Amino acid sequence: MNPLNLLFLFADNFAFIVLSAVGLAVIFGMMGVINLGHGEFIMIGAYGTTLSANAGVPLPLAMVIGVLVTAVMGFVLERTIIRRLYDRLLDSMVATWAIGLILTQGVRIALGNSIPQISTPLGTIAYGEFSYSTYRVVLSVVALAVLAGLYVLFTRTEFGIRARATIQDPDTARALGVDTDRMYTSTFVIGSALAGLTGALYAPTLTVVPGMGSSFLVEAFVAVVIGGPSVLLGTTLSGGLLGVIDALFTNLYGTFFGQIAMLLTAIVVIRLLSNGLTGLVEDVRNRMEGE
Amino acid sequence: MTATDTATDTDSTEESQTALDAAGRQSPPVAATGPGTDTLLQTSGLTKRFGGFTAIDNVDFSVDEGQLRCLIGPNGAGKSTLLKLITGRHDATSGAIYYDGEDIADLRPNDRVDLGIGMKFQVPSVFDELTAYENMRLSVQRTHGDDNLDEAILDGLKRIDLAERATTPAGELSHGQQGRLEIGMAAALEPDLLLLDEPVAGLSLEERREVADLVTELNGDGIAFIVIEHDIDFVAEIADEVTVLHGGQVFREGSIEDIRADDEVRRIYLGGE
Amino acid sequence: MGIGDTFDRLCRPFEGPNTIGNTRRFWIGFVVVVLALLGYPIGFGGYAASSAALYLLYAILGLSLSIIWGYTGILSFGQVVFFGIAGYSFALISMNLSSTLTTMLALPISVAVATIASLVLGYFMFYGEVRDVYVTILTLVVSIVMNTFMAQTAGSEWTVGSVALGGFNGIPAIPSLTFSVGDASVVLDGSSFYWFTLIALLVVYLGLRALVNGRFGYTMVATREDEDRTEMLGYDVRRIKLLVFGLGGALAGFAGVLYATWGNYVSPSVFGITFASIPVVWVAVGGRRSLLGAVVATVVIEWFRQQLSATGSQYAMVIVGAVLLLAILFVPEGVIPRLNVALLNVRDRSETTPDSPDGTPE
Repeated sequence: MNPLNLLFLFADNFAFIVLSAVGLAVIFGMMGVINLGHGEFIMIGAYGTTLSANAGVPLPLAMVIGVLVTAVMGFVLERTIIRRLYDRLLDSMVATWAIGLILTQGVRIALGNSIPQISTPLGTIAYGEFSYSTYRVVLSVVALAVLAGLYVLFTRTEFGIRARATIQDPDTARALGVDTDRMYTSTFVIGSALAGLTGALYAPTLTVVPGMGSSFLVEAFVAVVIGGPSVLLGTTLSGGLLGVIDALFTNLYGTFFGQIAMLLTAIVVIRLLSNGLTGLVEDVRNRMEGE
Repeated sequence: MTATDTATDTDSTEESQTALDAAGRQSPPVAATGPGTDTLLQTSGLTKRFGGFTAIDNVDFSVDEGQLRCLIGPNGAGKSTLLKLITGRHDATSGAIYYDGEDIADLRPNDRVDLGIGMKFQVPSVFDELTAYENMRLSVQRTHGDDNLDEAILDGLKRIDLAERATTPAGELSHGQQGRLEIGMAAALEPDLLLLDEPVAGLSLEERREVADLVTELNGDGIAFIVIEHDIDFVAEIADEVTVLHGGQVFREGSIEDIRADDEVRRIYLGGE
Repeated sequence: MGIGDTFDRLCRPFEGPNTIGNTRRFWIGFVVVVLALLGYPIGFGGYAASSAALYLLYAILGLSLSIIWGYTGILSFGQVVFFGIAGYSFALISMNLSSTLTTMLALPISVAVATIASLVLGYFMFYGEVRDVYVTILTLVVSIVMNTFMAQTAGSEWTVGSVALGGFNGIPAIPSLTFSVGDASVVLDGSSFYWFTLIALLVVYLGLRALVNGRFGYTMVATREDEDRTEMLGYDVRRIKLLVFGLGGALAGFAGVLYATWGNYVSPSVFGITFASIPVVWVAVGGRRSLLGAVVATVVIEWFRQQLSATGSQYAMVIVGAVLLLAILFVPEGVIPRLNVALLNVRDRSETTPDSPDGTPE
């Protein structure tokens, strides 16, 4: 087991998990809504990117288009459907699932089962007899940048402060003049845009097909479940923990054993830590303060 | 942790919880509650912290069998928290809770209910979509078999004067009726100790009287009570003894007349120490 | 009327506020429908009956979700996990030990395996105090993982006894259910399989009706409405959810065995996310708090899906998704309960004459 290989595998997994989860986590953290159509949002971002790139648009711009398309779709869906279900959380899961179904099949009907794919840019890093996709490793830097960007957004901007107030206590926030409806819409759009970004980023390195969304689901859901209430801290910690576990098990035993290991980790963590990994960090912090 | 063989002190107030056993060591006051004593509930050094905030601070609090205890104090004093610690909704940070001879600190809420502790929440929480009859059924079916179930349910409803509203969904009952239903459901479980968190908040004078009568009647049947209330007149009408909580600690205890006359108590309500 | 009273008395254990249809009229209609269903193979032949049997066994799967979601508030995408586990277990047992006795025993054993699986998963989730939302996610993740797992069992090393798990291709040539006493044996297929499944569905339906209208049923409903409140009445909410989840697992497993013996085939697609969400569609559309609604919706939706795929239409899942979305948004209580209320209103109005101020029929 080459240590460099393991490191790259970890970076790849970390990126995949963080990018899979972050859009879902933002929406869940703000509104408690789990978007079961999240995978399909990612798929739309990937399709937007791939179709644009195939039409001759340079890749970075194609990615922007992918993000925009998904964001607009998220906006429309929030205003028409999602906002009616904020007091019925389990029902919102079913509704977003239905949306996902319609999107998958809709894309399949409209564009067929496959479209021309984009090739992976940036080549490979070669070390000794191994090589690893440079692009995939770069994505781990992108993942960190996304997390950093969200941190800045939520802590340093006025929007972010209003958003956090709304998460903490919507009634008080409203009484202080925050337009909570607009806040929810904005958050849903941001979450959708992030999902679109994930799709855009992975479009050059995965096979873009209508059903591709489901390959992000396990990672995204498990990361959100064990992350706990804090969006950023939770996603980062989940990415770290699951990234290690997935890298280890995938390297030793293959992809699906990696999946099983992640699932078992989720079950164990959620059994032991009712507030997920962020709860653990809070506990440690409290204990250190109390002494 | 058993000290049942060192039951030396039967003084049932909270001053006696550090009994000494034959070898002169301090023993936990398990023997202070339960058969052979008058004390039904006793907390010992009970503390609850939420992060950096101490809601309940080293509280020694006890209730005798059949006693009607009222718990008062300024907002934020920790009254609801204390009740939730007793029912098991919160886990204590440290300290012990003894009930009828047992240390119940590790018991789940539903196990404590089986032992005889019942509660009425501050926020009305009946099952809105079920009828009053069905709500009462959920309580009554725990203590009755199928043969006299219907009769027992109707009796329970009659006792709280809701028999005519049996088929009304609980969500459509008035605030006061919902409160009575909750108390009635808790009483139908045949508890020894009932905890009521602000049972008359938001009720009219007439409704308050109905609750006071109901509580007094149930107390007459032998049920001990801990009632949190802000309405001093209501407290004066029903209380055997009053405990004043302030800043998570027991500030004063005594009869309602003593408490009313106490300057310090007035100061903590007005001054906010 | 002596017969009428006896009839009413027979129906009473199945009546209550937790199911729709509590009048003599309902039960008479019910008996008529059952008789018609019994006669179906005679009128339409064994092949048609065999096709219809699929909908009936799906209805049992739908009922399993109805009691855990509709009545107890546990939204699970994982019923298909137990459905599939039982199907695969049946295949492995009956194909490795091929006597009629073992094929008979394979049915209860497979159901037991599925039940144990559901109790294990349930234990982790409910005794771990996992929140509702996470329960749903976990059941979905388990389905996906099962799908991934079974799909990659293509290699020859993935063989239990003499039976290969078969990866994507699944396990073909599963024997049909056979019951034998002494020398006489009956192989269930075609009409006989239909009748067996119909009787099974009837027994499950009536059994669940009695359950949800009895004291445990009230406990289930209370758990769904307000877990904390229910706990404060002395109920062990975790145990309630575990028991219901186990029952749901058993029923789903039973349906799974029927499925495996219906098509004599099982594959990892039963764990796929599409099929995992289908029971949610049935129950959401048919009526979460109505057993009858779940049954009717399952049959109608599956028949409809079958028609669509027979014509090669790709629109099946789009329509299913749209129906689900519309149901959740506009008819959350379910189509059958909504129809029932409408029917009762019509009857109320027609039975109220100007001289009788209170024309309530029940």
